[in-house]
Amino acid sequence: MKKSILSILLLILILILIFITSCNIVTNSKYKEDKEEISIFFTDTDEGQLNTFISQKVLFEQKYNVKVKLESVEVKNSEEYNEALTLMMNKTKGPTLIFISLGGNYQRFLDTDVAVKLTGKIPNRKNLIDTLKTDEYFLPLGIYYPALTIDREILKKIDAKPPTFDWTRDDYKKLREASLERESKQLNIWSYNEIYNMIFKEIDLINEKKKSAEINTREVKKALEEIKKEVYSGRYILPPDYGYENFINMLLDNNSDEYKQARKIYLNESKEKLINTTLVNALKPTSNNSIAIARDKIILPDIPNDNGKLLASGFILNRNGKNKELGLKFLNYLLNKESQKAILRTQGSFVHQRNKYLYPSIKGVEDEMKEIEKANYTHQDFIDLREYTLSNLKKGRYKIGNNISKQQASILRDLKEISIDYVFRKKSFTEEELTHILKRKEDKYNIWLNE
Amino acid sequence: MFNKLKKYKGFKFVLPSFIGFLLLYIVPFFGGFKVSFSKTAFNKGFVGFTNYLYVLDSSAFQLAAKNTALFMIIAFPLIIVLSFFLALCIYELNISKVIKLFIVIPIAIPSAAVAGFFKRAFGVTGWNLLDSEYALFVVILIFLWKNTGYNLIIYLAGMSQINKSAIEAASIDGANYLEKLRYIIIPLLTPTTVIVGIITIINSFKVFKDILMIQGRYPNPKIYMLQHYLTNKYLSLKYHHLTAAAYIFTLVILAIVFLFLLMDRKYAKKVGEK
Amino acid sequence: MKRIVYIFVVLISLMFLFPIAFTVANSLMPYGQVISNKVNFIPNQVNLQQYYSIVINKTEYFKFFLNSVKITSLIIFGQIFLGILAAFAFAKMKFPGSDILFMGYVFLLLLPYQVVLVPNFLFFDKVETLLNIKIFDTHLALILPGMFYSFGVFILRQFIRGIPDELIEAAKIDGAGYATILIRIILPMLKPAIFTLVILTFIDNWNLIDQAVAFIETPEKMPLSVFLNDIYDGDKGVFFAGAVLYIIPAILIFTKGEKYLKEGLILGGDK
Repeated sequence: MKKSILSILLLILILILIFITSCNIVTNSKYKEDKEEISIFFTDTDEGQLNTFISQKVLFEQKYNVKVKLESVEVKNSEEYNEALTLMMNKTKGPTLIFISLGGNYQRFLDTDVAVKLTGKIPNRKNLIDTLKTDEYFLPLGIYYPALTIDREILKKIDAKPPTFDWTRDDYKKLREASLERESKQLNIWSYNEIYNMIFKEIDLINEKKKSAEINTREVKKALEEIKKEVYSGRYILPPDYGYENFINMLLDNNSDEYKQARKIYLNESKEKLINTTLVNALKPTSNNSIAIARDKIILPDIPNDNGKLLASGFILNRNGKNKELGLKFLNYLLNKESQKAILRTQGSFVHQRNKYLYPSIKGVEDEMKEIEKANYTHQDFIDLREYTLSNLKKGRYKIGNNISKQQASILRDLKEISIDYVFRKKSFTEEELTHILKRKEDKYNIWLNE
Repeated sequence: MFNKLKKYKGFKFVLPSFIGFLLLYIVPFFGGFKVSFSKTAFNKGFVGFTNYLYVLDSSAFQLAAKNTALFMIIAFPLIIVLSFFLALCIYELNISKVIKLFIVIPIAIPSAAVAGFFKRAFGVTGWNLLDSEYALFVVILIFLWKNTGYNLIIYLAGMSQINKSAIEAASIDGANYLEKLRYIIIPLLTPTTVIVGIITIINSFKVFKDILMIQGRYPNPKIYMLQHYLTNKYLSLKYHHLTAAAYIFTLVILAIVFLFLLMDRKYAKKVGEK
Repeated sequence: MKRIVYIFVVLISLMFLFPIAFTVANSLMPYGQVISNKVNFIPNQVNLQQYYSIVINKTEYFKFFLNSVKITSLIIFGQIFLGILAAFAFAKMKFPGSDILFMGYVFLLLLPYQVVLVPNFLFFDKVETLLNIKIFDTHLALILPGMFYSFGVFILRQFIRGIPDELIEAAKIDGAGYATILIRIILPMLKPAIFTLVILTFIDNWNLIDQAVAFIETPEKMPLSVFLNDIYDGDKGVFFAGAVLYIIPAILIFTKGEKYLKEGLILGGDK
């Protein structure tokens, strides 16, 4: 009798012990302060970008006696981000603010009603550039409009007319053709994307009305064939010793040797290309070597398209977040002139840190901008570019391009993988195989669109 | 008063498991009702049956419900007949234990471990049943493979309890084997079949794990099950739809179980009268 | 006739064994043969290359293995402890409402996990906010629902019902309380049922997927099943060896306790 009671007691003891060791009890008592707290949810790779916005965070914390906590997650792909988000979003006291990085998609927060309507709740919203006010849920804090450069010397060689700021897609196509005729280009992620986007841009993949995906169609098959033709047209240099695996690695795996190799060539090559994408923000083209660039190159704003090229970065207020009122105050604070000017003043190295090139989302910082331009001895071409782009933005000619639907983005990603497979495989797909592959995707998105 | 308390003595023993059961399942299960009537899980505005109607109207839900029902209608009788037949053979012919173990062992194999086999056996080019219209048959095959052993054990246990004298008496009366089967063995095994039926329902929902491992969250539409729908709703934050769908699902299962018990009761009565 | 049936059953049993045999055979193939597009059943040459590369290059495999061991063993523990207590009461200490409550327990078993996903979620959320215990993204989120799943109660209750009442009455006359009866009389007889429970719970939770997909976010905390699936897509060459290592504990436990399953699952008439 005693023995069995003892054994049961032991059992319970072990159970409790295991229970305690397997859960991490958050001991708040030690750090407990009287401060209210708001928190920001973001992925760890965006930390640099987030910091440009909240550089003035300490001042806010002191002023309102609040703690602004950063909750980062480490994710590998969009699926993991989704899972992390699901967990965070559904707590009754979830993160107050969700950080949307440059170009990040926030449609999902509107679809699920996570986002709180911001109109009328943030006094400083009146300072926003008018065209940015239309979005009632997302608060943009920094914006970016891509710029391109065109090499003057090559332009002269092919005997083409230099394009102006208001150039069109046709002008672009003509120039691109001409430059490729003259000199072939290295095949890499960037040139492949260019081909892919150019060809798939004109195809409707989702039928909004019927809520169906249109992937297994003649158009898509034709497009795949076109991509293949273009890749092997002789205008692109393919590494001669590469097999199927190498190409897959080069185009899909950013950690592969093939990718790194291609990137190296790309960085060198870009010096001799006719058209170059730059990492200059057309709204804030401050660069300390703008004079050198302007001598060799014509700088132009990218051509606007339907999806919108303007990229924005900012916050969504979480309906289930803790201390939402304080969250609103914080957003209001980030929108004031001082914080926004801090964004304007942040500058960094030219190539990698695009976030350092963000332009504030409020009106009335042009004078400040001019001062910065003066201090940097910015070339007049760059100033013209900024003024042109800004006036266009104010006229409402640019749309924020963050919001193609989740499904659309996912279809384009899937199709890109298929296209790479299609182009580079040794034994080309039979009609039947291709139909099968496309049908499989179409089925997937048909379900997804109708869930 | 004291007597009344004494009556509840048993409850003390149930209490530890009851607390968890209550907190983890019962209370939040009803708590979820509120969500299913809200605009979204984040916006608590009351919208009536909108979510239920939305779910019922969505073609993905209809597809999932159709597939799940089809799967059940085919797989359920199939596995019961198969496991009964195998059990009977093993019982009557005294087939060696090793053979029995072969049939039973798939129970123990985790889905992730054999997903590789199923992907290779049914999903290679040229012989791609998983992506074809017949994918449901592959799923049924997997289901049979995994769960026949389970039912087999229960049937064998049930058979070993049958009173042999009844069968012998029938033999003396000149009944042939089929008659014996029809009038004695099957009726005597009815309680066992009820258990087998319940276990089969439980296990039939687990086949989702295999489909998930083999084809991910968006499989071939032929094998898109209700659990896919629910999981995808969960991961896309649409709790208001998820809860509505879950309650509809629960209601249907409740109805089926009720029907099952009713039939069982009727059958038992009939046997009793004889 | 009998012979034909016999051969038929043997053939079926071999079919049942085939997927396992295939997995084992593939795990012994050299790397190149596994990743080739052709489906092979027989290794070109038998070697342990795959196992070797798991031990050497994929040491994280064992971390996930331990995750699975931890989750599974704790759930089994809870199932047995909570199950015995509740099952005893449900079988032998009826109280008003006990049958209805038990029906509720059984009904939970019939629901697929996805249906209780939101209830679980709501509970975890409440606990996190009220008690400040972190549950999401910890193994606790997998262990708690597993422990309180009513499967153990169901199996054990059916078994205990089969134990004759006279034994209990006799003990009562001797002046024993219910606790004593449970420990001294019932518990020693429960061996087959407990073995059954251990086996079935082990199998179920060793194969845990749905819950992990929903509640675990950190890749390192995933159970082996999810990790293994990632391997198939990423590093097919070692998948089959990983699968075999994953199967082994399940088969060991299963074959050890299989003889009890029959007794443990004699579920007594349900009327």
